[in-house]
Amino acid sequence: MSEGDARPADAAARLLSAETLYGIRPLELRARVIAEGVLAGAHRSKRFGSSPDFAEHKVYTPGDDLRHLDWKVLGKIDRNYVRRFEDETQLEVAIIVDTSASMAYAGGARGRYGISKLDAAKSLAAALSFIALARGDSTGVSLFAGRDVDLVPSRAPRQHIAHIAEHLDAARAVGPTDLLGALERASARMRRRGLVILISDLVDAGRAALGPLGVLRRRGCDAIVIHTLDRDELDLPFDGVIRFEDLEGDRVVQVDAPLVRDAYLSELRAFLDEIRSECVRLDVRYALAATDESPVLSLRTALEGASVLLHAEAA
Amino acid sequence: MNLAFLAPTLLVGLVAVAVPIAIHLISKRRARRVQFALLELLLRSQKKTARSIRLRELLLLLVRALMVAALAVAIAQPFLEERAARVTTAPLVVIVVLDGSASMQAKPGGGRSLFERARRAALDALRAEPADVRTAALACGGAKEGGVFELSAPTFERARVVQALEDAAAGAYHSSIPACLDRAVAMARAVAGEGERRVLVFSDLAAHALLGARTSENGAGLVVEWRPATETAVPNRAVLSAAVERVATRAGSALSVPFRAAAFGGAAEVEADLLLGGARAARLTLPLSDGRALERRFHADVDARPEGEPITEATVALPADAFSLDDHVTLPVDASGALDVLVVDGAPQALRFQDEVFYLESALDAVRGGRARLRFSTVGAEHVTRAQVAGARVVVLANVGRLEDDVAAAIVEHVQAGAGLLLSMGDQIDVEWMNAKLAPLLPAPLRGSKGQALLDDASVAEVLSLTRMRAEHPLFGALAAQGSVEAVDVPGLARVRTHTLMLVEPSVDRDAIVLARFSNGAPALVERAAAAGKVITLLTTIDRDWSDLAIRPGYVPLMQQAVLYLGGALEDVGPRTVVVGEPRTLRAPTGAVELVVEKPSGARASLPLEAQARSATYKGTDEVGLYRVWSRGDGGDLRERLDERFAVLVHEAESDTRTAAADALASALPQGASARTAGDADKGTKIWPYLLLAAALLLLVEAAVLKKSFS
Repeated sequence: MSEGDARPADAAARLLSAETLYGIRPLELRARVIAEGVLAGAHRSKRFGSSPDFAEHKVYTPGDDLRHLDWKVLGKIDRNYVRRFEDETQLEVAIIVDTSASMAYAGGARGRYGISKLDAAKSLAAALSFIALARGDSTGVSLFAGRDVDLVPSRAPRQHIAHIAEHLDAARAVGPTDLLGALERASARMRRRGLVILISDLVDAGRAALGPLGVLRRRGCDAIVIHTLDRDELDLPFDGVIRFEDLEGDRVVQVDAPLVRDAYLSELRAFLDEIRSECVRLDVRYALAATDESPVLSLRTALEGASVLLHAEAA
Repeated sequence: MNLAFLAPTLLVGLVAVAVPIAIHLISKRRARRVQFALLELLLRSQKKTARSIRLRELLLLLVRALMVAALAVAIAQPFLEERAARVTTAPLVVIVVLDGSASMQAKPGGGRSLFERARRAALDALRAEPADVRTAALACGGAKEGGVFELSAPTFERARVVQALEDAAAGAYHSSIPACLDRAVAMARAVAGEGERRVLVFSDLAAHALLGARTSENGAGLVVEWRPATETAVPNRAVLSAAVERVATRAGSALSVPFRAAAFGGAAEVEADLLLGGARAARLTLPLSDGRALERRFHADVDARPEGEPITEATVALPADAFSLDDHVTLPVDASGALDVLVVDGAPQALRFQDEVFYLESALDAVRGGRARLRFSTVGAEHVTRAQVAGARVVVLANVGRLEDDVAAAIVEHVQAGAGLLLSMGDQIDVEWMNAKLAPLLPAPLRGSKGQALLDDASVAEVLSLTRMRAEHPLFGALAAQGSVEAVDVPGLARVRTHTLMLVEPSVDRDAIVLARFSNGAPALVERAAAAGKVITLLTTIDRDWSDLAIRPGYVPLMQQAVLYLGGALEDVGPRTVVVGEPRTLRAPTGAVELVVEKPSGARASLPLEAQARSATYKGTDEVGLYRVWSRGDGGDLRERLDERFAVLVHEAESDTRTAAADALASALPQGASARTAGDADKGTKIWPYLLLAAALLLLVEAAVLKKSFS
C-alpha cells in the first residue's frame, strides 16, 4: 500500500475513534462501519472477480476499474455503471476468537475503565467477517475458552454475518486459555486454501501454542495473529500498593506498582518479542491491537499486505 | 561537653517517630485489589525487584523516622555545653555581676522575669566553676537600693555567694553596668595572685544600662563575659512622664493631663487611656515610632461628671506588655479647683458701698480662673450655719462681734481640720466673746481697740502706717520685690494710714508669725497655725472704718493672696512625680510632729519632724506608683495630706529595652579588659540549626529515593 493510500483510512480512524466505534450497537452495524473504514483506503472496494459470469451492476465510484465500465448503459441513460462478475477463487476464512477469562479485563487503573479485550476482539472478528463475506469468501468463527468451542460454521452468503454477529454477541469471557487446542482444531477443520485469523491476548501462550499456525502456512493457508491487549497491560499505570489477582487462576501478587513498573515493562517487551519472533519464524502476520486504539487502524495494521482481503485478486 | 536542652519537655515530640512507622505498616495492609490478566509477568517482575524494593522501603522508613526525630529534637533546642572545653585553666577569681535594674523585671512571653533568668544562669555558672576558685557577687541595683552594692566579697565559700545571689531581688532602680564593672575591677584587683580574673555580667544588656561614665579603673588581665538574659530585645511601650493640670473652663474647671509615651523595640500604634476613678475618661491613639517620645495631652471635664466619689487619682495607661512598670502612671488629683469662701459680714449696711465687706467682695471678685477659682458667698453674722462653715475652704469673719456658740465651735473645728480663717477687726468685735470662743484661733487674746486720734500725746502720730512686713511671705508675693526679707515699704501698702487698731496681749502664740506691724510696733497682720489650718488676723478693719487700706493699691492683691493662701491655692507643690530613688520633700503643717508615708505596696514609713520643721525629706522611693502622706499632730491624730501625695515613676532610661550594640559593649569595658563573645558563654553551641538542616537534607534524600523509584 502506498503512502497516499493510507490517508482515507487515517481520516476514517480519526473520525471514528475507538470509543465511537465500540459504542455502536448492534455488533453487525459496528462491524460494517469498521469494515467500511478499513476498506476506504483500498483501491478496490470489494473483491469481485473477473469470471465471465455477470453478477450485478454497480454505480461507478472512484477506484473502480474503468475496464468494467458499462459503456452501453452510459450511452443509454448517461450514467456510469460498472459491471461486476462472480469470483471463481473463493477463500475459506476462519476467525478464532479467544473468550477465556483473561479477555474480560477492561482496564481500571487510575479509575479509568475502557472496553474489555473480549469486546474489542468481538468487534474485530465481526468486521473481518463482514469484509470476508462481502468479497464472497466463506467465513466461519470459532470462539474458544479452554476446551469449549462455540463454532459458527463457514458459509459464504452475506447474510451469514447476522449469524456470526449473534454468536459473537453471546460470547462471555470465562474459563482458561487453551490456545494450542483451539488452533489444532481449526487446523483440522481447514480443508482447502484459506485464511486463519487468531484474535487473542495470548495469555500463558508459549511459543509452542502458535505451532499449528505453521502447519497451516505450510498447507498454503494464510494466517494472521491479532494480539489484543489493554492499555493497562501495556503500561501498568497503577499507583500505590496493588494486590493483583489472576483472572484465570488463584494466583495473587501484591506489589508497589510504581516500583515494579520498569521490571514489568521489561518482561512485557520480552514476551511481545517472543511472540513476534515466533510469528516471523512461522511466516505469520502479527498485529498488536490495543483496546484504546481505533479498531480501524488495528485492522489495517493487521491486514496490511494481506491482499487476500483488501485487494481484489483480479486487480 | 554535655548535651543540654533549652526546652527538654518538648522532647515528647519524639513520639511522632512512630507516625512514619505506622504509615509504613498500614500502607502494606491497605492494598487495592485488581484482577489482572498478565499475572505471570507481574510475578516475574516482583521476583526481580523484591530485594531492591525492600531495601528502598527500609531506607525510606529510616529517612522519614530520622527526619521526624531531627525535627522533634530541634524543637527542644539542644545545645552543647562547652564549659569543660573552654576552661583550660582555672581562673583566679570569678565575679558575678547581676543586673537588678528595673528593666530586668520584664517578663518576655509572660514567663519568668529576665532577672529570674539571669539569676538562674548566674547560679549555674557559679556551680560550674571548680571548687578551688574564689567567687564573688555584685548587684547593679536591687529591691531596696540603687547603684552598685556588694552581695558577697571574693571567697572560697561558694555556698555563701550562692545564697547571696538567691537572696538578691530586682528593684525599680536605674543602674549602670559600667559603674558595676568598675566596682568589679576593684574587687578583682584586690585578690592577690596570678591567673585570670573573670567577670560574668548577667544582664538584659539593654542599651541604657551601658550608658554612664566609666572611671579609669585599670582592667588589665580582666576578662568580661557578657551573659544576656534574653536572646532578643523585649519590645516595650512606656508612659515616660505625666502631669495633672487644672484649667479653667466656662463650666468650671477641667483636668488637663499632658504625658509622654514611647515605644522601644519596634514602632507600634497603641491606644492610651485616661482613667479617672477607675473608669476610662478619654482615649487617644498614639502612633509610636521606635525610640522616639511622643507628647500628647488628655482633657477631661471633671466638673461635668455626675455626682459620686470625688476624683482623687488620674491614670495614664497603655496596653500591658512584658515590662509592666512603665505601662501606666497614676497621679494624684487634688480636690476641686474651686475655692469656696464664706464671708461672714459683721456689719451689713443697706448701702452697699458702706457695707463691711464691700471692698473685700470687690477684691475677690477680680479673681477669675487660674489655678484656683474663687466661689464666695456672703452671709450675715446671725445667719451663719454650721453647714455653711463646713462647706467653705476659707472663712472670713469681717468685723463679726459674736456668733452662735455652736457655729463658733464649728469654725474652730473646721479651721483646725485644715481650713483657713481670715479675721478682721471692727467696732462690732466682742473682745470677751472672741477671747472665750475663738481662743484657739487667735494669735493672742484681744485687748480692745485703740484709736490713735483719741490719744492726747503729741509724740504719738495720729495715724499709723504699716511696716516691718515679711516680704518673703506668700501673702506679699504679688507685691514685694524678690529677695527683700523685711521690706519696710511694700509697694501699694507703704502709704496705708490706720487710725484705729485692735490691740492684742503681748504673749503672742509661738505658732504665730507677725507678717506686718503698725508703725507703733503693734502687730497689724498675724498668721498662726491652728492644727492643720491657718488663720490670718488683720488687726484693723477690712473696710475704710479704721484704716484706708481698702483704697490702697495693695489692698486687692493682699486680700486675694490672703484668701488663696488660706485656701492652700498658693502653695506651688511643683511636679507631683519623682523618679525611683529620688528623694521627695514633703511639707508639714504647723504643729505636726510626724509625717507618715504609705508606699503603693501599703508599707508605711514614719518621718519624725523636728520642732518648727515645716518639711521633711522622704528617701524611700523604691517602688513605682502613688504614695500617700499623713501628718500627725500633737494630739496624735493622723490626717491625710491629699495635696502631698506624689507618684514615683520608673527611670525613663529603663523603659528603653533595646539591646546594646556590640560596639557599646566594647566601649563599656574597663580599660585593658578583654571580652568574650556570647558564643563562648555557657549556653554553648546551638545544635538545633544543624538538626533543621539535617531534616531538610533528609527531605531531599527522601525525594531523591522516591523520584528514583518512580522514574
